[in-house]
Amino acid sequence: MVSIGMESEGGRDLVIAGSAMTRFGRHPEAGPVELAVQAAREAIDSAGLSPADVDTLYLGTFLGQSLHQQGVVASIVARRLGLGPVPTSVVEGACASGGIALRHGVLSCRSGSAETALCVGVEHLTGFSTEAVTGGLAEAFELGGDRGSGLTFPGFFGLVASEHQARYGTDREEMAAVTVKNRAHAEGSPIAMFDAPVSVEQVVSSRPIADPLCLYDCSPISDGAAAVVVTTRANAAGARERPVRILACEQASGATAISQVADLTTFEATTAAAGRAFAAAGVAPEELDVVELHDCFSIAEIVDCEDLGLLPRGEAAAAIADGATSFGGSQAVVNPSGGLLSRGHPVGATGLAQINELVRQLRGVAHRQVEGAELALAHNLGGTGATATVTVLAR
Amino acid sequence: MSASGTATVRAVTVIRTSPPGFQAPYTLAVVADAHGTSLRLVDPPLTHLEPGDEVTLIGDDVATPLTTSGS
Repeated sequence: MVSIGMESEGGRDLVIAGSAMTRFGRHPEAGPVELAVQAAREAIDSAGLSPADVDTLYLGTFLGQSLHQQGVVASIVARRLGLGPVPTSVVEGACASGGIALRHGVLSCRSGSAETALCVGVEHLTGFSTEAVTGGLAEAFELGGDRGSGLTFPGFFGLVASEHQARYGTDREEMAAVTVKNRAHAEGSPIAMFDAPVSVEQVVSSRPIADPLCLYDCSPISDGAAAVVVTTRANAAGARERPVRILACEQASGATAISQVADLTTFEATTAAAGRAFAAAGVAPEELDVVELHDCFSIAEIVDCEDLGLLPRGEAAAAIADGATSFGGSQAVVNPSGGLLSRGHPVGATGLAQINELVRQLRGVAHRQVEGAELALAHNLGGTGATATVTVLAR
Repeated sequence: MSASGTATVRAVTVIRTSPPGFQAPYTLAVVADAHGTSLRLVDPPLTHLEPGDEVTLIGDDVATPLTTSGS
């Protein structure tokens, strides 16, 4: 679909040499550290490297400290892996924590301060009550602002859906079609939390969560970890499978309170990060073959498609319902993994699970393979659009 | 955003699963007037509101329906 000949990220030929993830879902047998170590160990091994080759570790997590009351998680993981006295950092950007961990790894390698960076994302949420997790996730709202009004994340995206419906006439059944598509993509997946298909009728008649969103419009509370090894092409010579090129890895910030938002149907952080990523990669949205984007709620995928320039503003819902972003559709396949709605959403791990899926797509070994995939994009969104990362990868 | 007067509803949701310290269900609305936008708790709590409806602002946090197209 596109001739890959552009310069790689920052002039250094950076690649993803290895990636791995745990299955997302319920993991009562392991805590966040154990899940992170498992994914990281597999990622290092798949890169054909040893722990001694890792120069730095970035670990993305959102609620590790507030729910598990455990600090210095990155150093604990580094010790368990036997990395030695490398610099370690926890990075936090709500649901975009994993994407930010990747960006920090890319920046370290781009600058030359590291040759090889290990990027890990993890969250463990299922051992806590829904009320406790809902309250924890609400930490991404400003204290004393929207949080004081009793706003939840389903509520926030319910408001986004309400404004999208009012502004563009978005149909409730079209919104539900996002979940139907993503569940169909995940059917039989070995890594998805929910791999059974659902119908539009099942989505709209599921339990109301925050009007107009129902249970099947929402990604589930999950446990899981994912890890990615970023390095130079030269260091990836021993990788077990073909390394994947990093063409761009960009980040932007946006509104942290509803009072700052003139239009709830677009996220400034996404449009800014995407603009920078497309410019850095030298590609256009229509050249993409496959996209993993942040469908934390069904309405989020509609807004994301419009913000990323994949579909015209105000037309994404109908286009998705018509199959434009499904296998065999007219556009890039969106969320072939099943997305957050099917795979699960262990918050800090999601951004790197998206990368893991795209690495598999570009190697031609994904569970639901986009034939001939050469160019891919990952989009990870945090909070009320407070932060977003956009990464462009090439075969 | 004004502390009193009228404003127009831009978006509305009914929260069915609440965080600690709140008792669901309750209604939240994004409302706008000439001075800006704010998130308001709707009182009475389960009033049917739709974008475009008018509300009366009460203090910094509450809005009460003035006109409702859906009722």
